[in-house]
Amino acid sequence: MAEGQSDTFWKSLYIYFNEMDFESQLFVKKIYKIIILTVAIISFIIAFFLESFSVCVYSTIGASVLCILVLAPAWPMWKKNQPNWQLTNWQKQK
Amino acid sequence: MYSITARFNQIVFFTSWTLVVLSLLNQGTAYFFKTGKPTVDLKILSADKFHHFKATYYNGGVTDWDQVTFKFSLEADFEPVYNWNLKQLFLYVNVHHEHQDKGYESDCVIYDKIISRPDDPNSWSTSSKLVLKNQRAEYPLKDIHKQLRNATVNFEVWIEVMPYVGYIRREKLGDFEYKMPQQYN
Repeated sequence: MAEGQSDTFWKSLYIYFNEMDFESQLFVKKIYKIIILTVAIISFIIAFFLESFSVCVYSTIGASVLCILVLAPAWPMWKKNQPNWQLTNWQKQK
Repeated sequence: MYSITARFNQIVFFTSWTLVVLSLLNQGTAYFFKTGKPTVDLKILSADKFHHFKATYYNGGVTDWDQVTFKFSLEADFEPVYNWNLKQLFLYVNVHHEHQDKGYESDCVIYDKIISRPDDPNSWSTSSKLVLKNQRAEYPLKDIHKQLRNATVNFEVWIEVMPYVGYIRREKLGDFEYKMPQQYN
């Protein structure tokens, strides 16, 4: 970003949801697999005894949609451990 | 994990892989449980409208054939085939006859029916037994070689098993022989 320029509203919104700090990236990478696998295995066993496979498929897809809504965008809860950013040269000169 | 598209991509395709594995497990466990052979009984009640037909096309050609419409009664029990992977069954009655002189074989489907799961809300019945009394065949048996008089035809009852996940397979449930009438009626 050069001196004197600033982003449009949509670009800065995209940047806001895009940037997630590193510790929460590790956490998200572990937890989405755990959530989806647990839901898939438990719903498979439940659907086996209910004699209907659609229960299993719908609950797995529902769990993945929940994961996408909570884990993919960088909500404020995923921005708690920011790295120690230094000022840039032109910000220091001001 | 460094951008929103990377996170979205990983979650979506991980879900797709788990669904593939679950579908394979679904098909695999269905083969271990119940895949028996249903019992079926078919009785031919009558052979109606056994005539010699003739038709003229608009361009002047003429063709003629033998045609007969059957009435039959069918009883079957599909309990051995039901498992959680079964979506519906397609039952069809096939007539097979061979011409003595020229060595031709021909197959003709005269009746078919879709049988859905008993616990489906729109299903035709809540039990696994099928009873058809005095059922008229949907499609007539036609023979272009006019060899149907006094012929021995073979009624075969087939079933096509359509699962939710997996291969579609066909099974023959029974063979029933029938002798056609001597003359047209």
